[in-house]
Amino acid sequence: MARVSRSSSVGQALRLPLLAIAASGALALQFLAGCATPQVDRPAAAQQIFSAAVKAHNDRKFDAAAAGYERILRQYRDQPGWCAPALRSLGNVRAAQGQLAESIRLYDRVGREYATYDWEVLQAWKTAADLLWDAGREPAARVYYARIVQRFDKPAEPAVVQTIVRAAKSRR
Amino acid sequence: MECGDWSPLSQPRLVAANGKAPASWRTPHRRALVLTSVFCLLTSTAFARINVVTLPDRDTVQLTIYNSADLTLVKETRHLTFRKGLNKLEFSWANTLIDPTSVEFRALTHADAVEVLDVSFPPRVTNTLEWRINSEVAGDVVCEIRYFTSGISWSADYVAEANKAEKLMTLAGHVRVNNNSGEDYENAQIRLVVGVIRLVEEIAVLAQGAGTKLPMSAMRRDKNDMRVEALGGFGYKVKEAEERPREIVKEGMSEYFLYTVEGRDTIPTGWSKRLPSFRANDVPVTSYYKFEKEQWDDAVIRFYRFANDKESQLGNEPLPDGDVKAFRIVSGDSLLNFVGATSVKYIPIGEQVDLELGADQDVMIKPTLMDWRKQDIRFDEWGNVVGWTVKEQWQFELQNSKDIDVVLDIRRNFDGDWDLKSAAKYEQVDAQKVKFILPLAPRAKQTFTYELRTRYGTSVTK
Repeated sequence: MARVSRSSSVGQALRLPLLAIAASGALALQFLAGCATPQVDRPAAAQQIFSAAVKAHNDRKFDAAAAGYERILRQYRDQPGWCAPALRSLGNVRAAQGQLAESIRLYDRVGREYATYDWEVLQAWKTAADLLWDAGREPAARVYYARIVQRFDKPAEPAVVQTIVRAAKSRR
Repeated sequence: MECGDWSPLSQPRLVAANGKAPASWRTPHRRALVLTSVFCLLTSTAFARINVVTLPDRDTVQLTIYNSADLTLVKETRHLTFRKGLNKLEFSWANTLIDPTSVEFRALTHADAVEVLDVSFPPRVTNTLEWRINSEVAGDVVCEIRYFTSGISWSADYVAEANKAEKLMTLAGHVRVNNNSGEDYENAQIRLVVGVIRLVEEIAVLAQGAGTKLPMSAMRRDKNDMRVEALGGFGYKVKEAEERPREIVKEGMSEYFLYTVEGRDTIPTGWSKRLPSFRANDVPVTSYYKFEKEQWDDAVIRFYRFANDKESQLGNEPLPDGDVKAFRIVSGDSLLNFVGATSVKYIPIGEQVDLELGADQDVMIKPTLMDWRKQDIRFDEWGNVVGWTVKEQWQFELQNSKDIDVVLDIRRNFDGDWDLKSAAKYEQVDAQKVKFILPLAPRAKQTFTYELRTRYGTSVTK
């Protein structure tokens, strides 16, 4: 008996002999089940890709990590909670690969495209500022330090943010 | 000037000379902290990772679990060997549910000589921060790192062992700690908080990377409020607890109650562990059997009643809600018979609790309507019935097939204008309910009756 698997394309299934389908109601049901689109938990799917990318990143497999982050940005635009760290992490990959200009461009996009994600924005700006500073591009770095101070210099911020702001003030 | 950075992993490890962390470091459940040792020149922008150091264990780990908010405060201390000058310490929260915005570092010794200058985010790794710490001293410094994580929860459960006569029982409490935080916690002191925490956002969402749309400051306001409560009395309480012999310390903290589980335990992520909480012997217990047609139909339901007070060898702390399994000793060699299981709500100090343990076939209560009459019928001037009285004669057969005395609590519900006559003693519970409390000897049968008169229409007198 012809077997219709879940992975069979509709085209292949349609080429099944009609006689065989008619002869077996069970086979027809199996065909329909195979055609059904499975429900996908998109946040979970994005998280899974992100976790794999982070693992690759921390294992210094930068190309694999970048591919994972880019996939999230391409396929999961409806999941900004995963896109924001993916974009920042893609900037990290480019920085680790020595592509400073590209990494700064990506960090900058975090601040513009995911402006409400404070923690991601703070990390992106801080990393951009430190990279520029360490590269001797102090005027460009000061722009990001100033942004950090302007946005995050609030008494209610937690200790880690206040430390970053204090350091940023010294380099503004 | 030299600078060093550390990774307080739970086991001493060596750093490769090239500064690349060995693969064994990157196990998924030990990635909260990465400590490497490097020398660097402050005047140089490039760090040369050239040194090899022995890394310290966590000296202490303390988990304070706020169940109601899926929130745990983690506080760990380590002995770090600082170099004079700039030092670096990395902290990674990758693949954990740690809230990175809550991470704090402070020196417990030489506090005036150790200062966190900056926090940065090294691009070569993801979800990692790096403290840049200036130390005026070279040598050992005891440091504390604390943060919030989600994914750790606890639940209470109890085992009640009644004696053969069901007059006394041993009550043992346990807590089960579940760790799904992504981080292993070794030799951790575990503190459990009973109470409700107000949080506007779940930390797990943020820690997982699916950040919240709320600005940090908006989220943090409530977290800080909670943190003040969590940490405000913390030092004092911990010190007090540490000075005592090892025991379960339970303390009231305004609207919260803090349980400190005895000793230390290792709870890897993905695991749960059941820990003893308390054990009270000779707790007076009243075993009784309830019958109420409207609630349980024909079943007779067994209850154990006890009080959470000093007279009952309890009352040291409120008992958190949890599942209860009850057993009864049925032979001289302490063979236990399962009596039933139920769950209890939070039991404040001084409160009485009734454990509903399910139907018991050994006690039978059978009500029978023996007679029914409509009488005292009244008519209006046209001959229509306008008032009457219904008289019911009920007989109850009671049977105790057990080898111990039992107490029966039989409840009857009546509507309207009624009165009751019975040779058996009863109490009125409310306007529509009475209860008969009847002791029954072992292997005994007994009957009792009552007559119920209910008035209708113009016969109603009240």
